[in-house]
Amino acid sequence: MTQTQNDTHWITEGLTVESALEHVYAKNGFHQEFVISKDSLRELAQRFRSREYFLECLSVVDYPDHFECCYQFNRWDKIHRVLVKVRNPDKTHPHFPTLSDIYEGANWYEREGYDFFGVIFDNHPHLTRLLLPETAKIHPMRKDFKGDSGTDVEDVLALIEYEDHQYEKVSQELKNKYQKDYFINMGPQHPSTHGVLRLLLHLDGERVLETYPVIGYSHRDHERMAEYKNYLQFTPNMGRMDYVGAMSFNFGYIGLIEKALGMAPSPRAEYIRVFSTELNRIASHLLWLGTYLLDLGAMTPFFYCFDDRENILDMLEMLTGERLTYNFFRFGGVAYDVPEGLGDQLKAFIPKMRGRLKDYKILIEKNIIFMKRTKEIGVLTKDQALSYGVTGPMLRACGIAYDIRKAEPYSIYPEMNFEIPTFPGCDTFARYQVRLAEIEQSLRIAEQAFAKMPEGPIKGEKAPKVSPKVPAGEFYFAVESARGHYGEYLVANGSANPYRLKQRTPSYANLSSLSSMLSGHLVADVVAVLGSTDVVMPEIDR
Amino acid sequence: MNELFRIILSLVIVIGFVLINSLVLVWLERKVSARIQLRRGPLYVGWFGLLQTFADALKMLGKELIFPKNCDKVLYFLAPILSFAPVLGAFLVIPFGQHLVIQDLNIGLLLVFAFSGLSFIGIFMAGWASNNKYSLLGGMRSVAQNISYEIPLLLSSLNIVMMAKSFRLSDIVRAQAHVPFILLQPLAFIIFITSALAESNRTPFDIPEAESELVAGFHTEYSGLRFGIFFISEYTYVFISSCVATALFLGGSHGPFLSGWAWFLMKAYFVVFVVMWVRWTLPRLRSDQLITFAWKVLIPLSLFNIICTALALQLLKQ
Amino acid sequence: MSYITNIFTGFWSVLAGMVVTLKYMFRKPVTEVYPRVKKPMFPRFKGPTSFVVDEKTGDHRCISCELCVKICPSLCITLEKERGEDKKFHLKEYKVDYTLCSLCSLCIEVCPTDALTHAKDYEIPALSQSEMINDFLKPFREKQKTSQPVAP
Ligand code: SF4
Ligand code: SF4
Repeated sequence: MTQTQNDTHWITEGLTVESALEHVYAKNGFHQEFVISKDSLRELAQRFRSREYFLECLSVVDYPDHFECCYQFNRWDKIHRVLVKVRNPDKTHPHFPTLSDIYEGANWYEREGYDFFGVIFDNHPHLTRLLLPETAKIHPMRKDFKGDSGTDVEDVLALIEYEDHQYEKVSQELKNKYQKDYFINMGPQHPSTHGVLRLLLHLDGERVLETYPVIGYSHRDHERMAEYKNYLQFTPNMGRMDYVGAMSFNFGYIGLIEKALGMAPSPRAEYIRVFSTELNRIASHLLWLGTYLLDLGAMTPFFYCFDDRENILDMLEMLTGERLTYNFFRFGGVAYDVPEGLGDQLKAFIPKMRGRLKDYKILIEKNIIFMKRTKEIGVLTKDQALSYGVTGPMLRACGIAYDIRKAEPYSIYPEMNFEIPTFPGCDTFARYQVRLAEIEQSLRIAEQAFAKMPEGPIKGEKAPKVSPKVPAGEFYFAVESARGHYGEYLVANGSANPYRLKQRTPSYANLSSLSSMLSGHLVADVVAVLGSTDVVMPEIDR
Repeated sequence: MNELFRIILSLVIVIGFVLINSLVLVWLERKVSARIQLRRGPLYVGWFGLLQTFADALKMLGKELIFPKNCDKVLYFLAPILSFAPVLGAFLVIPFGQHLVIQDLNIGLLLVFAFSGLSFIGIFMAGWASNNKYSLLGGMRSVAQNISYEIPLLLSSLNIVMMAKSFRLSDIVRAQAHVPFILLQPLAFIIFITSALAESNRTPFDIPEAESELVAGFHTEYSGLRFGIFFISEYTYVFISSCVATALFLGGSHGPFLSGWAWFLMKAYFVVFVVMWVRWTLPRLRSDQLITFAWKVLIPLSLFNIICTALALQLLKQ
Repeated sequence: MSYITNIFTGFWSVLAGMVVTLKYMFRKPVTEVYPRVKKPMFPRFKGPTSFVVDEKTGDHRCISCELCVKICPSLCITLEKERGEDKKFHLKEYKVDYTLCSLCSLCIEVCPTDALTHAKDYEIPALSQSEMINDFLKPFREKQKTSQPVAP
């Protein structure tokens, strides 16, 4: 897919460009690259914003002689990925201009940059740590960081003391400031925050005035782990990030390395990959559906969904040997071939699942209480979605048909016959509709992929036996995970392990839009809206 | 003296019945929910797991009773008792059989509503005394809900009173010797069941304890036996509501072949089953929608129903 | 008018939902009664890693090449070897810490002699972490003890 970028002079017109590069999209996933000066960045971002580009990702990279902020801008309708780099040679506390007032999604990315690298974004409204605790004294993604020096116990004690102190200070301040309002901590131990998410709700009675998501409780720094391990050793980590839809993450990482190596998997492996990923996507949506109804107070659909999901997991276990944290894809292929009996199970499952979907429609979608609870709740407008970089079913519920499987097709998706369901509601009900329609589409894809699967080896000819060495360069590869655009930005330096592997996870951007969806709603709606974003915390915290 | 002795004896029987009954109800709930959800439910303790609830109750008895930090100890202690005691009082007037009734008062129906209306005070106290924001929200919600749903509950049973021309429950049952009132008053029955569901804080109206929003609502801070009392009182309340519904709409102890109390219990348990069935089907309403539903749908409908009943009665009289 | 139709459709939707749940009530339960009835595992089930017992020799197949130790992302394999009289390496100790193992099966795939496999056992609870460190050579040592004649 090559595109001609002949009319892109508006991007840098009149700005100080240090260097510009035309990339070959098929080779490393970017169309264009610019290195610009710090002062021109905000002007450039404004241009992108006014032309409906969304901020796809912001990765900070620590090079030996400078820090670099890599902003990726992209479009929904016509893929045009522009990599914009800003450099700062200050190695202690480099300053960069903030974009958080232009792109609200940049807020969290910049806080993460501060957290991991100690990069300071000037004029950021709330530049505090995001994933690490407030008391941490380290910037773990810097290249000169050599492991944790402090003892764990002391750190924890310091944190407790800090939180106590902070709590007293803040509560005193709040008492003086607000007479009527109060604050409630929803999570991290709460039945419906889906893992360990903490929402600090500022309430007036039951009405939400403001929401502050606090994340990082299951942070493990997969990005740093990637730098320590070689390319093969990092594969098991993929299943641990989005544990609900681990196949797509497998796909993303393996696809990235294959792209960087310029290698294609064997044809049979492609089909195995696609149908297992689609089955996993269905399983993920079913888990979402069940827990979402649980959030709304209906317990029974949860069990029906889990029954269906169990069927899928059985099939995937037959195929991969694992039920949840799959580590199934290998460079140039997959780990195992399709076992006997899987085809029969799949053939039996697909009509059963279609029948179940009808039951779900009657039981859930047509139900007046469900409709009352979800319609016109948690509205996210198109413009907000753009500003936050929301992707996946949440974006498609705004009526925008942006799906990586069609927008920048990878693997054998171009051969598959399927649609991208979109609904114009922008609310939680539309998100429900999108996901249910996607189950149907995924069934179609899985059916086709399984039927068309050719005979042959499951690993490509050039598949590396040991961990490969990726040639130096920068690569980006995106897949459509069950939650949206999952992309990886790899900076390779030709050695056995990545120099920097930035994970652009979909829930991260989706969750950051939560506070804008919630204000004015009731406490009961908080769980309804949070549930509809379908967050998976380990994927956000990484 | 004789009368006093009779009342004390019946109270003891009632308490025993309530305990055993709630054990059975909890078992029933587990089984019904399990079957609806393609599960098996309790299987091994006792016959088909009948004694599972008993085992759980024993476990609950063995737990330490905790007072949370900064709670209002007196209210915290009183709340479960206050929510349980009124339910017992309501048993006084339920006509389990032709003559199986402890005190056949002429204002029996009112007494039931009066007692059941008290139980939310216990819930609100629990919410207030626990010193927990979730509990407080739950308590506040419960007050709003109970006040709203008391009205349609009363209004819908007023139809029956008009038709039977008595507040005495045994009279109402007697009036249904041939035709149960559910056939004459289907709308009133639906309104009654809906409001009774709301009064007993069960899905889809369980907003005071909505576990996905408020963790466990008013009983977040309760554990052990105190939690058990809340639990039992909820189930007993469901049972009382079903008994009243049976007496008002389903013809009470009337029925062929079997003796009166057997029919009564069968009907009451059937209503309980329907209540459970509803619970395991529907999602939960939001608190404002719940109140809107009471004031904008149930109350107008029941008023309309009363007018229709009155007109029909007048027409028939002439 | 829409007020009344709304009430009717709402009521109807509730009834329709209840019919669905009633239908499911008479279906067969899908849950397993686990500890009493055990489900057979799929052939590819990934239990804890363990040594393959060679059919011919009755011994393990490990040649102490340490490839598995190098590939393991969780660093949970400890291997000790010694050079025997025949100039070949002999395995002295092979331990895997299951508290760390992520069951990724990279060690199994890398092994040149297919010495490793996933066991099909899934009930491996332990009371302490030290119990989770499995000595792979233990069964083989025990076998040697029983089969070798005791020295007089
Ligand atoms: S399965 Fe993976 S983690 Fe476990 S010992 Fe083998 S290589 Fe290491
Ligand atoms: S890779 Fe196989 S042969 Fe080599 S040390 Fe490991 S188990 Fe032994």
